[in-house]
Amino acid sequence: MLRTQQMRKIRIIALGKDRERIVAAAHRIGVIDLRKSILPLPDDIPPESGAALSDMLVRIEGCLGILEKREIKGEAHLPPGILARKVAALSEAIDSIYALSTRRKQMLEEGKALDYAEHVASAFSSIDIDFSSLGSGRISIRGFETERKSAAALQAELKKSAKRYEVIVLPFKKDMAAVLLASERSEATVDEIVKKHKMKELDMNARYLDGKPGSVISVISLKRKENEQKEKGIAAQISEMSEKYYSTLANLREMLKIEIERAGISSMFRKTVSTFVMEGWVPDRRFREFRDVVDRETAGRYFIDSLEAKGELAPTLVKRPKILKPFDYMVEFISIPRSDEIDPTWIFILSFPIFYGLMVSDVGYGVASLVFATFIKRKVNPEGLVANTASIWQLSSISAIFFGFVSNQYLGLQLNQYFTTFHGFDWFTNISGVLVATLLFGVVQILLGLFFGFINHYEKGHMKKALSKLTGMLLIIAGCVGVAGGLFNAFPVQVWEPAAGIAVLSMLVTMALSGAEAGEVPNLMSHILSYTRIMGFGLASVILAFLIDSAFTPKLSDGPLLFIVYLVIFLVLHFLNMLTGIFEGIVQGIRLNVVEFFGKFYEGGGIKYRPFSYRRVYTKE
Amino acid sequence: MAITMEAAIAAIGAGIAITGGAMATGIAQASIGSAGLGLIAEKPEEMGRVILFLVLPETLLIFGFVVAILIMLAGGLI
Repeated sequence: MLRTQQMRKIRIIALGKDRERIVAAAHRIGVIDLRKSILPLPDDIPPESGAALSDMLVRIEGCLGILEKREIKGEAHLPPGILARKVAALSEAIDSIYALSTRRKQMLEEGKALDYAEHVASAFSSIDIDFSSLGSGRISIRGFETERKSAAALQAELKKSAKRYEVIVLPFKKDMAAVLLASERSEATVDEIVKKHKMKELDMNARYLDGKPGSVISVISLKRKENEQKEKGIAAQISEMSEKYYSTLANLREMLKIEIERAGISSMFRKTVSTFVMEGWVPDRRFREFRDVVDRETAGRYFIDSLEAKGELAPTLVKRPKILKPFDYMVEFISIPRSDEIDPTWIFILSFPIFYGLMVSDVGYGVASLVFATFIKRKVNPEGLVANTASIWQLSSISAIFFGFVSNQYLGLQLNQYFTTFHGFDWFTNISGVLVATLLFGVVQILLGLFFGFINHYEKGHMKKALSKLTGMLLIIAGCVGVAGGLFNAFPVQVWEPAAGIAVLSMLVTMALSGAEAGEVPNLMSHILSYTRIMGFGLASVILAFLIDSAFTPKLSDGPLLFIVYLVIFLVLHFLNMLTGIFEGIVQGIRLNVVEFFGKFYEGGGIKYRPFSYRRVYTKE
Repeated sequence: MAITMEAAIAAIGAGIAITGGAMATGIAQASIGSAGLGLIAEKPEEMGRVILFLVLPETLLIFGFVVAILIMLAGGLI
């Protein structure tokens, strides 16, 4: 339970002609985490089909992007050769799909050109102008659009000038004006004027601007109708092609992806003239299954060996129910457990909800946090940090509801007496009891951490460090007895005095054994005290809720207006108190595990187990 | 309710213990918080770690709180 899965490093040597079948089988069962072989042999050469399959995949991906989505009917997986032939057979259809896409793009471009021409023609539709005769002669006629106030300023300025320009300003759309500016072609100051009055030039020679504005608009209208028909035709053809090919192409895409992955993995292999060598890690419990598959695929023509992985760290694989996976994510977020150390996730799974529950400790806040967590989980990326935190939060909310019931807290109100005779504890009258309980949590978790540290060091042969963990445990036990007896008379003097002596002695021995980490020894005691934060934050949350209830509980006897005002203040303050409680509950719960507990033994820095596998969605084996 | 001189002194002592812890935490969190925000601006994905570091100095406040509770227990205030 506290160990990662046992892994076995294996080497397979088989005939080159069986390579494709073995790789396909290994890929299919998804068990081996491949490593490059350390044998001094040449690298395997990737099959030539890999690049061709990649090109096919790119073309098919493009096609699927063009087609409309349709239901995908699963097909059986095809081997690379047949797969390539099937894609080649569909080449004509693929070309047609791309041609349809190109035509649709052209229609889109033409639509934009028509819109622009209509825009320009509308701007000057109130005057008698012929777009086809603007570009000739000594006079240059240019069109602009600008804000009306800029156009008025332009008119006023040109009136004062020496009549080197002719200008016509026409109202155009809301607050805008179309400006027709005529000047001698040699006039150099036109651009300065344009810039000064922030005028946007209209392209008077644009496509479809031929003739007078009225006739241009009529031609555009006809052209639009014609294009609409064409677009409908293209859409119908795309729809027809989607019906016919979407499912097939989606299946081919999946098969190609799988085959490309298989072709690409050859960089991990070594080879001789007629054999190839594959190495990797497989979980011990699935080794036989893997060997049987290879045996079947090669008809017994292979050699498999378990290797002694000297100096190589096995990948980390943990097996846990799906509901607890977010806790794995959280531990991995800090650092992946090494395969040769104790996996602390189970302790995290058990302790975090308790810490969180005690810190929030209110049925109302627990229910609200359960609702919030569920809402957040649905809204965010299910693989990300936020979703995983929300999943942990969901589970921990149940603990908050439980401790809320046990401590009789319902948004700061005490309601248990209305439906049960159960008496748990009271935050106000059992402060010292809760304090002792949180300290005990600390003692247990720190002792557990030291014990794990002892096992880790012992297994690695670090005897001095392993011993220092044991003396550290003695220091904590004796120190606790000494403090409890000396300060609180929990033990008779005959017990606590020797215990205090043992604690001092253990501290000195632990410091001597810890070497460079000796400075950390006094932290053993402070880390236990650190767990009192559970009580601190829990008590703060309960007292604030009590104060909110005392001051702002709405009463109908105060009248409707005051009732509403008090209700709003009551809800807002409880919401803020709840947010603080939830935030602190999560952060402090993680912190107690990561800093105080993990710090005693956890090294991390493991390598995640990533088997050579794929997820088949549509196709079948 | 009459309060004895011992209880009053204990209450003041508890207040000082909490105040000292809170001030020390505040000073430490000010530095960590500003550095952490700088890091988040560059790498938003580091927010989880920054929050974790930000709450580390709260131990000082917790120690103040524990001392205050002990003083109040000894002074008969709770």
